[in-house]
This record gives sequence, structure tokens and C-alpha cells, in this order.
Amino acid sequence: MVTTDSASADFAIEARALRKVYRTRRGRQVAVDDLDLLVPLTGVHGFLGPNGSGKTTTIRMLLGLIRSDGGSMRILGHQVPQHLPAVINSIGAIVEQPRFFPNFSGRLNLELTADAIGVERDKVESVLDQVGLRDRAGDAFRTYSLGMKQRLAVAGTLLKDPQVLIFDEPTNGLDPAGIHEIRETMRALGREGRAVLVSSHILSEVEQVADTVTIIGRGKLLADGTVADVMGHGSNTVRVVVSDPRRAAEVLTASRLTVRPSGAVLLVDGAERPAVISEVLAREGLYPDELFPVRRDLESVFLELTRGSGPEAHFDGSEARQHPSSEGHL
Amino acid sequence: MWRLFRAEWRRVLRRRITLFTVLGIIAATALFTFAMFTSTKAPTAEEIARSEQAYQRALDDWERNSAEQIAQCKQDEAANQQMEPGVDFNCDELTPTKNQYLHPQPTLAETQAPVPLVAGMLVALGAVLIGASMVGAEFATGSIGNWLTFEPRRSRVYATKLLAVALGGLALGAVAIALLTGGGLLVAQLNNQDTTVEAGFWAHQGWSSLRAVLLTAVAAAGGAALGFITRHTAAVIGIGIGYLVLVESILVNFATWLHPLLLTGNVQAWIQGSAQYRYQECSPSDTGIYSCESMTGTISNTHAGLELLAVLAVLAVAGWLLFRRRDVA
Repeated sequence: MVTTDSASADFAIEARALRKVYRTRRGRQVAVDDLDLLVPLTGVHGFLGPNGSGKTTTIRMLLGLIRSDGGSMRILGHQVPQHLPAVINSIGAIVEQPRFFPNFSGRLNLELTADAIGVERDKVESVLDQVGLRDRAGDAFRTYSLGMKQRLAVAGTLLKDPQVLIFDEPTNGLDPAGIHEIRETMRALGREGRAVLVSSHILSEVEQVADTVTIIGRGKLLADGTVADVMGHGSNTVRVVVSDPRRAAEVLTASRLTVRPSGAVLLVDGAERPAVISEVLAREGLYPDELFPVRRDLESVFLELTRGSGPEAHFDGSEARQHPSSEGHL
Repeated sequence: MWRLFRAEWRRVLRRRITLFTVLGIIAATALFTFAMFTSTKAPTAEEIARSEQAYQRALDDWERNSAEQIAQCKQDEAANQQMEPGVDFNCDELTPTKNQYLHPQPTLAETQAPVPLVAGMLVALGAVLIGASMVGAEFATGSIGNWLTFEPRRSRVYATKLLAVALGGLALGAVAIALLTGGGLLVAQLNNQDTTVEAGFWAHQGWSSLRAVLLTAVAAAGGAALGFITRHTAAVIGIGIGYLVLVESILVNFATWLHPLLLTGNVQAWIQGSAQYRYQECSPSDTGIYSCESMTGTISNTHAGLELLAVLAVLAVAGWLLFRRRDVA
């Protein structure tokens, strides 16, 4: 059944059991394999995976640029690609590098786009202002730096005032200032109540800008949920340095905490707060020299997942879920 | 659809290759007009005197040696008739004439007659290039993917691109014919050509020009369709050159039935109303000698129109189906 009322959509983007197989000379290559992708109606959703994991292929399928070989996709409740025309004006997308007509100026490129989608040309100047490109708008697109090209592409998406924005590797090749600018833009768009899907292989980027995340590897879903949940909040490790580590380990183990000795340092799991460890040790006359919470970051989670050794416990009891297919595939 | 067409049309106008093609057509028409100017000048008194002298010399020579020359001609004719029965050397028409030594000044009708054909063929080539490059460049730069994120209805995108380049080709053809016709009239005035034309001459020229303009539109749309099929401008150029070399230059010599189907002949027939082609029909004679007979065939205007339309339809449908089905990188 095709939903045509975007207000009734539960997700901005909803892809189920998505599949894409390329037929190459070497045989069939599964680029996307039974992938679920759920992007909330508002906020920034990170789409994380190594290069070649199927992120761009997934995005291209969502935008109707390539055909899927299985599964279903909905954007704002509309089945795509069948009903993409009905919802396209609510979608702004930049797939890989921004690709406009190279010999045309930035302004002319946007004017042509505005003509094509039936937007008044006045809006062009407004979006050029928004992305800070008005001074260079008369120059040929090919003379732009990568950062300027990205900004022009963002301006292009803003012509439509979209509810859903899709950015594929938006900071690739940008200098630090450009990266900062694009990330700020994505955050701002997410705060405005739009749904922003940002694909990236840069973990820190997703960690910084995203509220929710989907992690894929070799075309398969590895994990998804809020960034905090995927990182496993509440089960952080605490690094403890104490004068008698052997005795401290016995005391902490007796208090039902998990202790992993690492040389003269103890790595303690299971404490609600680092202060609990301090209290337990102090009761036995042991006073830690250092008590340092080792916060798991997305990078460690990602590496664990893509090694196929992701501890399931980190996803228990939270909204995040680890997909069974992550085990032993990468 | 209209807004999409408007964007595509604007793009056609703003492309560099359109500008370069327009400049190239202007330069070519200027060159053609200059050639008309130099070839239609009235002969000077000195040229007339010189040609009179040459004619008199030839006439004197003919009076002295005509019997011998006619006999030699008939001897050669007889020898050739053994190989090719029916061959006629026109031995009774060897008397020198004044026109052989002083070409009369061409009339306006003579210089204007080839204008639709020259302009049509010239612009058609440019139009194919414009159409192919407009699409090929989009695939080469990847901007087609970006465009489809704004308008995902591929049939509309396809149709508007073909229509926009067809309109561009049409405009270029009209401008080229107008320039050549205007240039020809100016030359006729400057060189005091005979401007008397037969009744219906300008109507015929008008219809030929209209068909030439339609041809340039078809060529542009065909080029764009080929661009969608191959996704590379260079591939379209390669197909064009390959066709001319393989089919029109080589293959046609082995398969004479191809003659009425060749594009160049059909283009000529479409613009001029009809076109003739020559071919040789070879077979062993009663004497056992393998002899060839020169034959002439005619391509009608209707045949040409239908063939060109069929070619465009095949290309347009193939391009549409491929664009709809294939992934866009």
C-alpha cells in the first residue's frame, strides 16, 4: 500500500530489506544486502560505514538513480522510487561530489535548477547569501574550491526548502574550515526540525553531528540507534591506578564488579559511577591515585562491529540494536 | 514540463559549444558567400578578348583537322563498345563552342539553388554535435545525476532535452539559410547577376529551406538520443565517422541495395525533393566477358522523409528506454 500522506509517516526515510546486486565480469557482487535504514523525522542521522560498504549505493537507490534488486523504500511515507516525483520537492540531496555544469557560473547553475523546479529566481540570491557564495556566484563552477562547490550544492538543496536532506560524504576533500562549516550547517538543519541523513566513513564526524546512527559494513546493517546507545552509555569502563592493584582487584571483584588487570592499571566495568569504585576501595583502606572514566567512543564501537566482535551486552536493554549479521562478516 | 523545457532551452543557449557552432556556421556562410562573390563576377573585357582569341584558335584548328578527330573518336568509341555495348562518345558534337572558352556569368537562380542543401547539411552536422555533447557532457560531469535529484521523472527529462536541442537545431538551420540567402542576394546585386527566375523558383526554395530546417532539428534530436545511448560525445562522433567510412564508403560497394538507404542520399533527397544515385550492375555477357552497366536510381522525397523519420524514431525510442532503465552513476 502506498502512503501518500507525509504527516502519517513514522520516519523520514524508511528502507526495509534493501538489496542491490551488481553483475560484474567477476560475477555477482552484493553491494547492499537486506539492509534496514530508519531515519527519524527530525535531527541528524549518521550513516556510517567503511568505504565501499554500500552507503552511496543505498542513497542512490533512495533517490531513484539506481534500481534496487529487492526491499522497499519510503521517504516521508511515499514509496520510492515509484512515487518519488510526489515527494522530490521535500528532498534535498548531495550525492558524493557536487556535480553542476562546470562551465556555468554558480548563479546560472542555481537559476537553471530553480527554473526546473518552478522556484522564483529571487530565491537564488537568497540561498547564495545563506551559504555565503554571493561574491563568487558569477564565477564558473569549475573554478570553485571543493568547499565552495559543497556550499553551492547545499544552496541548491535549500532552493526547495526540503524536509529531508541527504548528504553523502559531505566533508570529503574539504579543509578544516570547510569541514566545520558543513558540519555546522548539518547541525543547524537538524535543529530546524528537518531530517538530515549524512553518510560518512569519518567516525568523529558522525559522533559530532548525529543524534542517531546506522552502521553498515559490506552492505549489511551492523547496528543502529541513538549515538549514545550505540556507544553503550551506562557500561563505561573506568581506569583505576592504585598502589596495590592485586588486592584492589580482589576487593572490586568481591563487590561484583568486573576487573581486567592491564599491567599496573585496572580496567573496571560495571560501576554505575566512578565514585562507587572509590567508595569500595576506601572501605578497605585503598585509595586510588587515578580514577579515570574511559568513555567508549563511536570509533571503538565501529571497530568492534566491523571486526565482527561487537559485544552484544553493549546493546542490551537500550534502543540500539546490533544486527546479527554483523557477526563474523568483516 | 514547460518549466523543465525552459531550463533546458536556456542551457542550450548558454553552452559554449552552441556559441562555437554558431560562430562556425557564421564563418562557413561568410566563406560560402565570398566564394559566390568571386565565382559570379562578370568577366572583364580583357578576359572576354582572351577567350575570343582562344575560341578562334580552336575553331581554326577544328576546321583543319575535324575529319581526323571525328574518325579517331569513332574508332575509340567502337573499341569501347566491345567492352561496354551502347557507349556513346558523342563524336558528332566535337565542334568547339564559345561557352567552352568563356563561362557565362551564373544567374541568381543558379547560385541560390544549392543554398538549402549546403546549409542543411552543414548545420545538421553541427546540430548532431550540439545534441550529442549536451547529453554526453552531462554524463561525463555527473550533472545528470544532480539534475535527477531535482526532477526524477526521467521521461520528462529525456523529452525536454531532446525538444530543447531540436529547437536549437531548428533555429541554427533557419539562421544559416537566412544568412546564405541574404548573402546570395547581396552578391547578385554587387555582381550585377541576372536575377530573373522561373515561376515558382522562390516557392521551391522556400519548401526546400523548410525541409532543411526540419532536418537540422531532427539531426540535433538524433544526436541527443545517441548521446543518451552512448553517454559519450566522443562515442557519437566515432559512430558517425564509422558509419561514413564503413557503410557509405566500403560496404555500399559490396551491397548495392544499400544505395537508396544511405543517409547522405536521403538527406539530399529530403531537401531537394529527390536525389539520384549511380551504381554499377555487373554480369557476364553472352560472349562470357564480365561487363558492368552503369545504372541510375532515384530516391523520392517521401522515401527520404520516411527513412529519416524512422531513423530518428529508432534512436529516440532506444535512447528513452536505455535512459529509463539504466543506473545513473
